[in-house]
Amino acid sequence: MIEVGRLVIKTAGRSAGKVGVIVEVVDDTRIVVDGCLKRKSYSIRHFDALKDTVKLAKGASHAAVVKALEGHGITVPITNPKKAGERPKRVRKAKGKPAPKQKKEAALKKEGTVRPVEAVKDAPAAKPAAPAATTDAKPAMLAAPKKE
Amino acid sequence: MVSGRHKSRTLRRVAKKTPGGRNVTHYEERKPAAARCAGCGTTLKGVPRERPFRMQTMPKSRKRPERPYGGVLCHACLKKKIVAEARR
Repeated sequence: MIEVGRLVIKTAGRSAGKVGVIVEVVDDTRIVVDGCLKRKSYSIRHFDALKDTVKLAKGASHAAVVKALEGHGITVPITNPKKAGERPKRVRKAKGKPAPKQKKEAALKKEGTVRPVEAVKDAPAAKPAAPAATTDAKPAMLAAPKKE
Repeated sequence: MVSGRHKSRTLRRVAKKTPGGRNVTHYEERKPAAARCAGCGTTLKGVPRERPFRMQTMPKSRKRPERPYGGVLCHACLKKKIVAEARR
């Protein structure tokens, strides 16, 4: 029953109910199956053999398996896995990176929240300082009354 | 005294200790029963027992196994069904 070309149906796992063909018998417990399933080595215990067989060479390619199954009336669904594209390369600026403080100030200047410090041009003339009062002279109110 | 609405046995009693050091009884809602296989009646694996709100907020893949009839039939009943249909 377990031979190359035997049609099998998967009875366990998330691909349960799908039909495949034995492509290679690895040993007493493992078989390589292809068809409506992923082409890989599976445990025999997860399959149930069907009555039909298909003419297939040992280790046949996926294309040969598809052709053989189509001749038997089983259409293998076409899966178009997306090919992984190239990773986008990080483009670094030619100039060196500014220090974090300068970066922040530059960002704030762009927003317009920080005004640049400029020299004060039209400042009014400073008033001359008032002469300092002598500490010795006492005000008239606090002066001691004259003794008569 | 226990208020009337807490006497129902659909609520479970949980003993708790408050930060103030008092021992109090909290009345919490019970979880639903485990899901059962439609074929043989065994408890299904991979199906969580949670109250409706938590089940609704859970993603679908967490609520049942990724297998045909996952969450409905157990693995043994599924195998029997597949073999029976293939041999017809």
